[in-house]
Amino acid sequence: MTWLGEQLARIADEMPERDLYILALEARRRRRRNLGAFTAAAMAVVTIIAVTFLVQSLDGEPEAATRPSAPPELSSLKVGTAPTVEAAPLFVAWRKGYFREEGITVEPVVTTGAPVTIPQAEAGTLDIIQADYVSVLLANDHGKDFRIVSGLYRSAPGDLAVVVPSGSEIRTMRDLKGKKVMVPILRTFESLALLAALERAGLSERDVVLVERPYPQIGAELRQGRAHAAVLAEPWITVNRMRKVQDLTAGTLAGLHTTGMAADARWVRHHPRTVAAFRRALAKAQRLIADDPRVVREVLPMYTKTLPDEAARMTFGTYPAEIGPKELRKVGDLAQAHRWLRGPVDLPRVLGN
Amino acid sequence: MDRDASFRAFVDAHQRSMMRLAYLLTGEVHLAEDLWQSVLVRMIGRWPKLRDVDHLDAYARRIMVNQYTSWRRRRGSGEVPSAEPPHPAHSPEDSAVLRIVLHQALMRLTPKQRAVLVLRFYEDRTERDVAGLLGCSVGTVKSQTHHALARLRALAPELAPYLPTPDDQEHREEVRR
Repeated sequence: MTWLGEQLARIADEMPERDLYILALEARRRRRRNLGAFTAAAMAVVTIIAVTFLVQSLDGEPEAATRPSAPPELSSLKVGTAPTVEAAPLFVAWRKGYFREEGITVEPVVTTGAPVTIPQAEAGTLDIIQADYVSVLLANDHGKDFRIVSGLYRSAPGDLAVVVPSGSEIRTMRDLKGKKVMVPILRTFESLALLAALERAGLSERDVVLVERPYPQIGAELRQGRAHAAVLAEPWITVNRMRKVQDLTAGTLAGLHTTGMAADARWVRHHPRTVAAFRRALAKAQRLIADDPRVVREVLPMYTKTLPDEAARMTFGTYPAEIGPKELRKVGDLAQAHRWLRGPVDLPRVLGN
Repeated sequence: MDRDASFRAFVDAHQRSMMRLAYLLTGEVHLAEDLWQSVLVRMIGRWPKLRDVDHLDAYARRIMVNQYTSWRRRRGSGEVPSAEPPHPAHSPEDSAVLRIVLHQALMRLTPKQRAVLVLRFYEDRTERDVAGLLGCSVGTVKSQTHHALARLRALAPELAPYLPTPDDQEHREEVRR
């Protein structure tokens, strides 16, 4: 035998011996059963379609197709989201058909952030919203009753920063005194992180002028000189090629769980199966991302103005589906430290426990 | 019952070599088990008709290789070429290390190239045999072998001295005849 053959044999030795005979028999039985089930299902679908057409032709009222065994209460969901890296699992699940597998159609509605979507979710125009935990805690502190239905994102250093155009004279946070700073949306985790960084530099919120601008506008307006600096999240930092003055998710805020999916408590109570189905599909996407983070870079151009090569360069954190009291307490403590909350945080309530 | 017994006997006789082949093709234990299992499932289905087939192991091998190459086509290549070829940060004489380098380089070949190398050198089959198993011409086997070896040399230059040269192969074929 040649050297190559011998080495290949040694590699093959790594294969453990296992008897697959029984497994194969079972797999075949299962496949047969599935074939039977598939045939039956196909017949059922054909019948339903035929009946639907018949009913439609009779009185124009379409009959909703039903799924066996407790389908979600809603088949179609409007989900509020924001155009940053945090939203990636939603779009991964959407693109891979994970929502469809669970019997729900998801219509993503891209907005600026939770302060916009929370009232819409309360009014019922959105069902589930992507929300930074600070916004959720703030809303509940103001008498609303929101539940976190799933974790979405945990930040990593570099994904949120104070940025300036390349020619700017601003070098440190101190230089921001008296300057105009654009933020995507006020009263969220992003602006709280800015406040924390300002205070570390010996400044306060009153030392800067904050201006709200949606993510897609900030780059251009900053270059036109309409403000001196801005708070940007990825992928917008990379897309706009801005210079970072200060990383906002480093140091004490490193590794913070920042964003989850939330819904009005009443809505959650009335749609337990929809919530469960949504959660399963999202968690599946989050597991996929954990296995292969590249999928984040692939979906980003779907909902942001990111080019593939920019998506390849940007920074992002991780996507844990779980959010527990310990992680949420850190966010609550941060908000309390800056006197954003009036009362204590009811962690079990907001987590729906 | 008789049918099950004869199938059981077939599995017992060939399971070991087939799983080793599956492992060399896929490079991964779970994928290898999946592959062997899918071959078994296909064979149980038509077992009664397979009575007349002379070389059942060759038949199984053909299914396995075809299944594998078409799997890879359908699922798209899950192969992730790592940014850099493996570096020889070791004494190249160390055979365990060389084997790891070989394993890595092997997984970066195309499925068909890998199949040709494994059948040719591990199972020690003639070019004609391999052509029969893969359902292609002897010429294709020759060129695939050549490309596969060239690619191995390019991916892992430290293997070059150990790999068969084209002359070797001619020679081996001569000896067989």
